[in-house]
Order: sequence, then structure tokens, then C-alpha cells
Amino acid sequence: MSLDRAATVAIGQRAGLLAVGIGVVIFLSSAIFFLGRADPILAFRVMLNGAFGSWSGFSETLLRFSPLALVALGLVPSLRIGLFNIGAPGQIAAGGLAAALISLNLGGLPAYLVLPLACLSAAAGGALCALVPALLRARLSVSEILSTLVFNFITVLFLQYLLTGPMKGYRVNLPESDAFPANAFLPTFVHGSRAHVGILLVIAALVAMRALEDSPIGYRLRLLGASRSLGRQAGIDEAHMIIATLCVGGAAAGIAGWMQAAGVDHRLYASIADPIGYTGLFAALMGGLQSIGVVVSSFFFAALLRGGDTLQIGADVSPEITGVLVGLIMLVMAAMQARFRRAGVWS
Amino acid sequence: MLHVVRNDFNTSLARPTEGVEECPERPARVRIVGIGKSFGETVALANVSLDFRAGEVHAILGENGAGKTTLVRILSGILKPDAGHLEINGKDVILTGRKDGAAHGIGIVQQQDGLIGELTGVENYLIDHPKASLWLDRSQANSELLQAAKTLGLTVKPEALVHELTVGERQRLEILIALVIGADVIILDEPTAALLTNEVRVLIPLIRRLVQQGRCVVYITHKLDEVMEIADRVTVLRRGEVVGRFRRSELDKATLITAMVGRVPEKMELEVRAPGEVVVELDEVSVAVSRTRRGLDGASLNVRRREIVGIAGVVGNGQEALAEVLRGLVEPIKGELRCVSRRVAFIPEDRARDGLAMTLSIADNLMLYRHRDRRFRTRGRLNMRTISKFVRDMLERAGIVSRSVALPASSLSGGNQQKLVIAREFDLKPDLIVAHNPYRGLDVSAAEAVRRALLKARDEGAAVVLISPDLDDLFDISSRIVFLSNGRVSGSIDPRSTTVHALGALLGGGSM
Amino acid sequence: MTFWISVLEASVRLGVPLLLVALGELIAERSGVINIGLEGMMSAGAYIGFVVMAASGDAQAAMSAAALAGLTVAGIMAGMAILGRVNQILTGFALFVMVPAATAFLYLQNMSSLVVTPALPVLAIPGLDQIPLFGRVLFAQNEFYYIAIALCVVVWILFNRTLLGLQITACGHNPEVATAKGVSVVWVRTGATLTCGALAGFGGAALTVGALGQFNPGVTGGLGFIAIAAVILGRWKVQGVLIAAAAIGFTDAFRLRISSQVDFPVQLLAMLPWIVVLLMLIAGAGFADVPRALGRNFSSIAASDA
Repeated sequence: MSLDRAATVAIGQRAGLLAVGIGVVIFLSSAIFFLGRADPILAFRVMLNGAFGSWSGFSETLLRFSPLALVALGLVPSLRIGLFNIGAPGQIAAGGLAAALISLNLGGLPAYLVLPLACLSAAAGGALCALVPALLRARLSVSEILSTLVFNFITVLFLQYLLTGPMKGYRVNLPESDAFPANAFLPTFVHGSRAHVGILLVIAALVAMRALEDSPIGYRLRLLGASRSLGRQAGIDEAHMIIATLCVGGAAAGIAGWMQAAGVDHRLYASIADPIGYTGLFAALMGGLQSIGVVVSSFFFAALLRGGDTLQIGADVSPEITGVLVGLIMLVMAAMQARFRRAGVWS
Repeated sequence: MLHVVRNDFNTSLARPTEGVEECPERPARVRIVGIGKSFGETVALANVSLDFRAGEVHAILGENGAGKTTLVRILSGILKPDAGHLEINGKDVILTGRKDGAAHGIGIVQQQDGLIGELTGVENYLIDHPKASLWLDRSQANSELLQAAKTLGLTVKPEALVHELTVGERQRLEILIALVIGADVIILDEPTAALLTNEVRVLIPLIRRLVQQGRCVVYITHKLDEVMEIADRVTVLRRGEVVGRFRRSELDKATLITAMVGRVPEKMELEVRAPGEVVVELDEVSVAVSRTRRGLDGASLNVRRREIVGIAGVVGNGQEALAEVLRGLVEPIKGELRCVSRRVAFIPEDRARDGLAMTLSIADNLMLYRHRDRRFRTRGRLNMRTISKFVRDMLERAGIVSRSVALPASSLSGGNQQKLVIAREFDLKPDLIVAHNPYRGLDVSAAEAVRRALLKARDEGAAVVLISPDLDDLFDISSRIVFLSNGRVSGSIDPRSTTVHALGALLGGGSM
Repeated sequence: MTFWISVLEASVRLGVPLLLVALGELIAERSGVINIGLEGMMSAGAYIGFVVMAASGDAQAAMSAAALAGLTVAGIMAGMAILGRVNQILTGFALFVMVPAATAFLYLQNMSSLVVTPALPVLAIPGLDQIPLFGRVLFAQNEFYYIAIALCVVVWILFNRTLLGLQITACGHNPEVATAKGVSVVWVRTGATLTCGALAGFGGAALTVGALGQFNPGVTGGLGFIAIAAVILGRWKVQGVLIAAAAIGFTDAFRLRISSQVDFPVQLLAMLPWIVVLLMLIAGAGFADVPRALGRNFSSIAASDA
């Protein structure tokens, strides 16, 4: 078979598998809807409408897209070398906390100072949250899966403590902080919608990632991910790479936390990381660890999350279903990828 | 590659004198008829017919790549032949696996991976036994093994963890287990590859005792002298076919060599080069033990330009640590390492793990040391065009043919992969080359190519350290040979003025 | 003194679910499978067990249903990761997100009001339970406790006295050689994973039905991962896992009891068990007993060609 025909057949196979995958997901999720005494067709319609049906719905999708895409892009370098950082929820919380401290206390400064400061401190907060697991992994070979998860719980619990205690806002009985001063709000594009300029940061991250992929550093990541032994031979400091990539992931998640705090409700709240936290990892994996793919899948998941949020009102369905859908999609996609595997895990 | 003047085995060991003429009444335990096996387009075996009789040592002699390993795996049941059939005690049998082979009385002792290191000998035995009960009785199993060991005059430690045993102890344990399970035919695949000379001395009488007890020992090897010493019958394989059958009385070295190689080999004349300046010097260097290997204990060595220093010694005496410290991967904890330049090339033992990144492209693999080079970058990004051209030139010079440089390294053959490693490593004109068992897994022509590359690098001024457990490999090209034993370096022998026998004796006498 | 006794009693009650799940994970990891989806298996059992108990009041039925639920989730894991050779961590993580969300969803959709299941009867061993201090703690607990102890013994016997246990261990250290020795690595790992799922589901029921008497979304709260840490600290042996589970149970019980006595923020106290887990991870960092092939996918096809 000539190279061209083989390629066409491959594309055809891929499309066919994708169709099968989508079919399986729809079928299985409908089953779950049934078990939950909900109407799947209504549910799907509400979700689609909620995400794309109106301008405000679409801007809500964008609102979720920016932090999600940022988390996902940030996870790519560490995933490339085989590290599973599932600490995004904790890192988002840490970043949101740092940003809130800046926003609340320095809110008097003009916006062009407050915003960058808040952003940077969020990045620092997120990176710090990832630092201990990174060190544990680099120096003691402690599994980063377990350590980042532990830090999730520790950080979120700490945040909850702060928001019901020292940092408690004036709205009684809600675990949240005071509202941010207006200078600390993330500016939006269009009046009335909540889609904010965070999307510019996503574009910047995308550009940076593309540049990275083609650079010597990108080469070193690729190499280290393919062969630790050869990486050492080429003089790559493995510990250095582990710490750097995990902290980059933490910083990106931290900035996402700032977006959540400064863009959604303009205050810090306890569930700041839900449900972006774990979905970010899925988006990165589904995107095949390539920058464009990750952005596309992040958009898809953002739409899913937005649609899920409209279910409560639109179809009287608990929004927990989004977690189910996300996990289900991941499972089915992984199963399909396995059937389609050549050399290497993700092609 | 084969030296005619050799005498590995000390002839003071008693030769068997009685009853070794061909005995037609000796029952053939196992017979293979017309066996053929191919892997894709490569024909590994073609029309091989043999029998193995009780009470004899039947040696199968052949070079690397002659088909011995494939034959062994078919015999023991691991592989199924494409053509021909297997007869055990007169009945046609199709074996379904190693355990099935064991149940039929065929036991196999391979060079590695026959035992699970983290378990004890008794535990390995219990897993191997085709009729083990669900309930474990470790002490009974232990006594079964000790009992059998006594009848063979062996000392074993079945309750020790296997990875704490020496290579020789492990081998004897495997033979013992095969025996107790009930093997009539015991296949030994390259049994002396990793043994010290004095452990070989234990193996020979063991084999004789096994044979006296009525079993058949199938001895697979490429070593002529061992065959001359121990075999009752010899079958020579070349390129997957049987090219010679000899009885003990007909054994003659020259004939055997000709059969194995297909031509009369010329003695290789080594050109002597005057060695130049010292490139690297180890001065009483000690290296810490790591989880996977032992360390060095006050090793001293110096290597000069235009010389090849052969490091002889049994696996597990510090070879890996020596390679690592020469490559600059670990710091000595005692002593001093002085090195003229840091351009060190490394040809590894395990290509797939240490030589190449199999899933990455050929281009990526060749760019290992050069990816930071200015000329491959434009504005911070890697320039694929200049890289492609550079890589294609390199491939051409190395004589590797590949459809595209973007294909993964795993798409190349073993020999080409090793050529790739050498091309990349020698590209930077290294001052020091560390070759650790570089011929492993290569066929004759590929090994020859590696040899030529090393000699050429030497002639161009590099210092070469060649680490290998195979004395023949060292003898071929080394300017001088030293021994690595228990993490120390001793002795210095000129291969031109001694025999492999003397070398072997020194190895055996100096340690353990 | 009564404070400490009540802490000890509670620590047993809270430690039993963890012990059960950790035993299951022990079996899986000894065979070479790392089960990130443990949390999913546990929450499946927690939910199903609770529902069956609330509907029927039959504890045995609830236990069986819970084990079955966990086993089903494990079936997905086994099918994909072992038979389909998908990355174990990926599959497990997807299950970790999907199944707890599914149980939360079903619970919220189907339960109109707060349902509480009755506390299980305490089975006291007469005589032994009169021992001062420890009598009530060790010999007067509900049936989950006794089953858990019995399972400890069973698993210990499995790994130390049976051929199957040896085969499992072989698969975990060196699946290639184990295959050569005639062990079917795929079946052993599948069996181990399914058993792990059943035990995890059972442990989930031990939590909702045995200890708490109620269900809420997220009730398993990371216990699945704590179990993995417990296996590491326990050096992949039953005795070690038992001690680790007891330690965590104690920490949890302690912080629950003390929060009612001392005026200290609840959330900060809740951080305590997690800090202990972190310390456990650090302490267990150097252990060499880890099954050498843990987490590595194994292809029997590749092995027989090698």
C-alpha cells in the first residue's frame, strides 16, 4: 500500500472509531440519566442550548474555558515526562488565595498595578503548592499522584478554614471572602457578559507552548519522557526538570484560580476549584499533549461544564452529572486510543 | 574471531574413558524431525533433525545467529515450529509452553530470566513444579531440593533470595529444580557465558554425574574447547541448518571450526600502535553501591590514546560502576579521577534502554548531543531542515538505510541500531570511548562492524575501554587486558604474549 | 480516660473501612496493579450498600450488594487496563472522577429527604469484652469489624501459605519470568483487581452502613488514596497494612472527638489525618519491598516472543 492510501485508511479508521466512541458515550450517559430518573434527550438539549444557544450562554462557556485551558496547558510539560499532577484543585485554591490577599489589601492601587500583581502572586501561590510534591518526587521518589492529592485536601481545608474564619465576608453563612474592590475585577470584553480578558492569557500560553515544542527545551522534555537513561546521558538534570514542570503546572493552575476569584463572582469562595480541578487533566490528555489539541479539548470540556450547570434549572437534574460525563468520555477515549496505538501512547 | 591456539579447560580433569562409543541401544528420549522456523522473512531454522539420547552429552555448536537459541526454545516448548515435529519417548508431541515441556521431562536452563530474583529458591521451585499443591509446604520443598543436591554432590542454599546468589549458584539451583521436577533431558544454553573458571570446574563434574544417572544433557555453546572436553556427540549448526554431525572419536578442532564458520579462519593480525598520552586515570577510586549494581573499591586504571584496554571479569564485579564513573555519571567517593577531556562516548550493553530512545525518531536520537548547537536553531526554535540534512548525511556515512529520518528508532534492525549508536557517539570525535559488552545480541557481520569501528576510532587517536565477560572478544582487539574483580582492578596482560588459558587461570585463581 | 476509650472505639470503627480497602489494594499491588480508581470502587459500594440497607434493612444483603458494586467497577478497570492494556493510572483516574460523581448524582436525584440507616448491632464476645481498657474496643464491635479481622488472617494465609499467593507475588515482581513459569499473568492480575474491587466496595459499605449510618456525596473523602499510602507504609505486607490503617483510624477518631472538647477550627483539625498521610508517604519513600513491576503494563504477547 502506498503511503497515501495507508494514510487515508488511517484517517478513515480514526473517524470511524471516533464515531463509535461518541455513540458509546451517548448511550452510556443516557443509561445513567435514566437511572437518575431524568430524561436524557431533554438533558442533552438543555446542555447544548446552555453552552451555545445564546450569547450569554456562550460567554459563560468562555468564562470556564480560560481557566480550564490554562490548567490543561500547564499540565502538558509534566505529563510529557510522565508525571501525573492531580493537584490542580489545591493549586487553584492556593493561587486564588494569594490573588485574593493582594486584591483585597492592595485594591486601592490602580487596576494596571493590581491586576498584574494579583496574577503574579497567584502564579507564585500555585507554584508553591506544587513545590513540596515536586521536591518529594525529585529527591525521594515519592509518587506525585499521592502527594499532590494530599495537598489538594490540605489546601482546600485550609481555604475553608480561612473563609469561615479570619477572611470571612459579610454575607452570612457563606464560605467566602469579601468582594474584591472594583480595580481588581478582571475586565470583560462586552458589557453584560462575564467572558473576561483571561482569554488573552490563554492565547499567550498557547503561543508559549508552541514555541516550547519546537525548541531545545521541548526536545529535552521529549527525550526525558522517552528515555530517562538517555536523558541523563545528554546531561539533562532530571530532578530539575521534575521540579520545573510540576511548578509550571502549579503556577498555571494558580493563575486559573485568580481568574476564578477575580472573574466569576469577584470574591474568593471555597468551591473555587470545582469542577475545573480534575477536568484540566482530562482536557490535557484528550488533547494528546499537543498545544492546539489541548485548547480544542478544553473548549469542549468547558462547554460540557457550562451545559451541566444549566441542567439544574433547565431539566431539574443535579449538576453532578458533569463529573460522570467527563470521566466517561475519558474512559471511552482511552479505550479507543488503546486500540489505535502504534509506537508511543498518544499519537 | 576464533583463535586456534587455545586451551580453556585444564586437562587435568579426568576424561571419561568407558563406554562412550556410539551406543545404538541408548534410547532416544527426544527426537526432532525436519524442524523449520522463520520470523517474518528471516529463516532461523531449516530442516533440522536431531535426536537426544539418555546418558549422553549432546553439544550443539554454532556461532551467534546460527539458530541455537531458536532451536532451544522449540525444544523446551517455548516456541512452536513452523514445520516438522517433535517426538518424546517415541510419541509425537506438540508442546504448549515451557511448563508443558517440563511436564514431559524437558528442562531448560537459560542464561538469564529463569528465576525470579525477589523470591527464594524454594519459592521458584514451587512455582515451577507442574504438580505443586495449592497449599505450600516450604520445608518439604526445601528438603526435596537438598536431598537431590546431595545425590549430585552440590551445595545449594534454597532458602536464600535468588538475587543474593552468585551467577554460578543460580545456575546450579536451576539445574537442581529442573531435575527434581523430573527432567530427563536438561538443556543448558551457553552455560559458561557468565561463569568464573572455578565455577566452570564445578559444572563439568555435575554434568558428568547427570549423564551417569541416565539423563541427557544438551549443551548449547559457541565455545569449541568446552565441546571438545565434554561432548559425546556434536551437531554443528550454521545459518539455521545442520552442517555437521560428529561423534566424540571424530572430534577435531579444525574440522569443527570450518563447519561452524564455513571457511578456514585466518588468524587476525593486530597492528600494534604506540599509545599516546593518558586520557583518563583512576587513582584508587571507590564508587558507592547503588540499588542495581555493586560499586568500586579502590580501583586504579589508566587509559591512553590509541590503545584499547580490555576489562575482563565476571558480570557483577563492578563493570557498571566502572562504566558510570568513566562516563562522568557518578562521582567517586574516594580516590581521584583525572580526565583530559569530557567528551566520552558510550556504547551500551542494552541498546533499547541505554543507547537509543526507541519511540523517538532516528533524527531525534542522532541529535542527542547536538540539540543545543547554534546552527540548528533559528530564533530559538529547532530548524528541521538543517537537522534533517545533517542527520541524513550521518546515516549515509554510517551505512544505514532508512526510508525516513522521522521513523522511530525501533524500526531499524539490531545491527543498524548499534550502528546508529556508534554514529552518534563517535560523531563528536570523542577522546574516550567506553564500550560495555557492545557485541551483545548482534550477528556476526554486525559485531564485525562494531569491531572495525572501535579499531578505527583507536587509530584516529581515541582511548578505548572495552568491557566484556567474553574473553574472546577482549582478546581480539585489546592492546592490553586487565581484570576487574570485587571492584578492584588487577593485572595487565598483553594478549599477544599469552593464551586465553593463562588468562582464564588468572581470573579463577585471583578471587572468590 | 473515658475520652481515650471513646477515641479508641471510634478509631476501630473508622479504621475498618480503610483496612478493608487497603487489604484489597494490597492484593492488587502485589500482583502488579496500581489502582488509582480505588476511590471509585469504594464509593460504589458505599452507595449501593447504603441504598440496599435503607430499602431492606438486611445488612448481609447490603454487604453482598456493595461488594458486587465494587467488583463491577473493578471489572471496568480490569477490562481496560489489564486486558486492553490501557495505562493503569489513566483508567484509574477516570474511574476516580466518574464513579463518585455517579453515586452523588444518583443519590441526589433519587433521595428526597435525608435517610439514615440504623446502627448495626454490636456483637460482643462475652468474657473478652470485660477486659479493662481494650475489652470493649477490640471485642465489642459490629460485624464489619470481625469480618475485617478474619479477612486479615485470610489474606495473610494467602500470601504466606498458598501457591496462589506466591504466583501473585511473582506477577508483581517479574511478569515476564512468571509467564515463562506458566503463570497466567493476565488472569492473576484480573482476579486480583476484581478481588480488590469487591473488598473496596465492601469497605465502602463498612463506612456508610457500618460506621456512619448515612450517605452523602463525597463520603469516601480520599480514603481510597489513603489506602494506597497505607499499603506503601505497610511494606506490602498484611501486618504493616493493619498497623497503618489503625494509625489513620486513630488520628481521625482523635480529631473528631477532640473538636467537641476544644475550641479549635474544625477544618484545621481535619487537616491532621492528611498530614499524617503525607508523613507516611515520606517515611515509606525508601522502601525496597515494592513489587518491581508495579504499574507497568504487561503484554503476554510480547513476553512469549522475547
